[in-house]
Amino acid sequence: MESYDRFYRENKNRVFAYLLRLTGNYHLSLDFMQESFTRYFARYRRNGNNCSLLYTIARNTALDSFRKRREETLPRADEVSLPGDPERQLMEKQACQKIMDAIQQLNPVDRELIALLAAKTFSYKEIGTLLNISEANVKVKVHRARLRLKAILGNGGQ
Amino acid sequence: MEYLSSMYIDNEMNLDEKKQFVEKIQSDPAFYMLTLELLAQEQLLEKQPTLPEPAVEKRWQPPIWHGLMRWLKPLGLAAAGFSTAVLMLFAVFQSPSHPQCNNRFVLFEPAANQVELAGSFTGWQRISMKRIGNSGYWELNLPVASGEHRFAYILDGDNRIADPTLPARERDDFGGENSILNVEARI
Repeated sequence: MESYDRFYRENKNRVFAYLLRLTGNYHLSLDFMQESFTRYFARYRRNGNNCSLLYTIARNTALDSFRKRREETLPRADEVSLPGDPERQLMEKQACQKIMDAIQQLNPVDRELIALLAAKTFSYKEIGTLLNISEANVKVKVHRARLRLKAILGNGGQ
Repeated sequence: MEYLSSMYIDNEMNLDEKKQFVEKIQSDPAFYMLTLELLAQEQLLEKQPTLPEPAVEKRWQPPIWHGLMRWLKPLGLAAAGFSTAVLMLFAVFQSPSHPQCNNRFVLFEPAANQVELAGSFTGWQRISMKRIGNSGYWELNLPVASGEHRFAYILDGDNRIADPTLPARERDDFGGENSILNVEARI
């Protein structure tokens, strides 16, 4: 039980960061993060503490849910409260929302790469294994994803 | 080799690549600018809201919950034990399946100097009855559980008789007679 506790504590913020970039939705990401750990502990606890499996579950959890909710309008992550004075809060909120919207405009592979990097859990090599592409290909794709994100942000997020 | 800036951001460089990177930064102003811009973009990306600790801890908190349970378990057992003890105490004194009623025993025996009562409900211990003035009557109030009981009066210490007012009686193993008393449960 102790090792599961530690596994949860060590990974919850990273999985959340990953899901937030992947979905662009704060509250959904919270739900998905908890759902992912629940699924992981319920079905795969015999596999030990396997990060790759956890992220695969997290991704599938998000995708399953998006498939189900495809026709529903997803709420934006604009209810998030940040610390600081109101004016700064508002500016940060807008900046957050801008970059979050920009990520959502990326193609799925680029978004996945940005999300996986945000989790700060995997090396290029591990990301390659996760996505079934070579490490060299990850290098190129990661950089292109960053450049595309930069381009979207440079266009004012349009 | 443009992706060197991403490798730099992601700490994915070996020594050779680090050397190439520094040289390119030095020689290529566009690459230098791009790397700076991508770094700023990463800073923005990192500023995304993080997990709200209290909200999540409330909804799912294995470590704290686990620790809490460790403390609560013995407390729970103690509480359960205490409750059981209290319930047993009530069960012993109240005997809910056999509610007791006060039963009044009356006997007209003006000639006796002492009248006692012994029955299954007293564990066949003799209990003295009280004379009611000069009326010749003796009386005793006793709590008797509902159900069927046997009893008899003992006059002057050795003369054992059944209750003359009760028709139901049976012979005991010692040649005497016991009255059969049926006490109905009160609702």
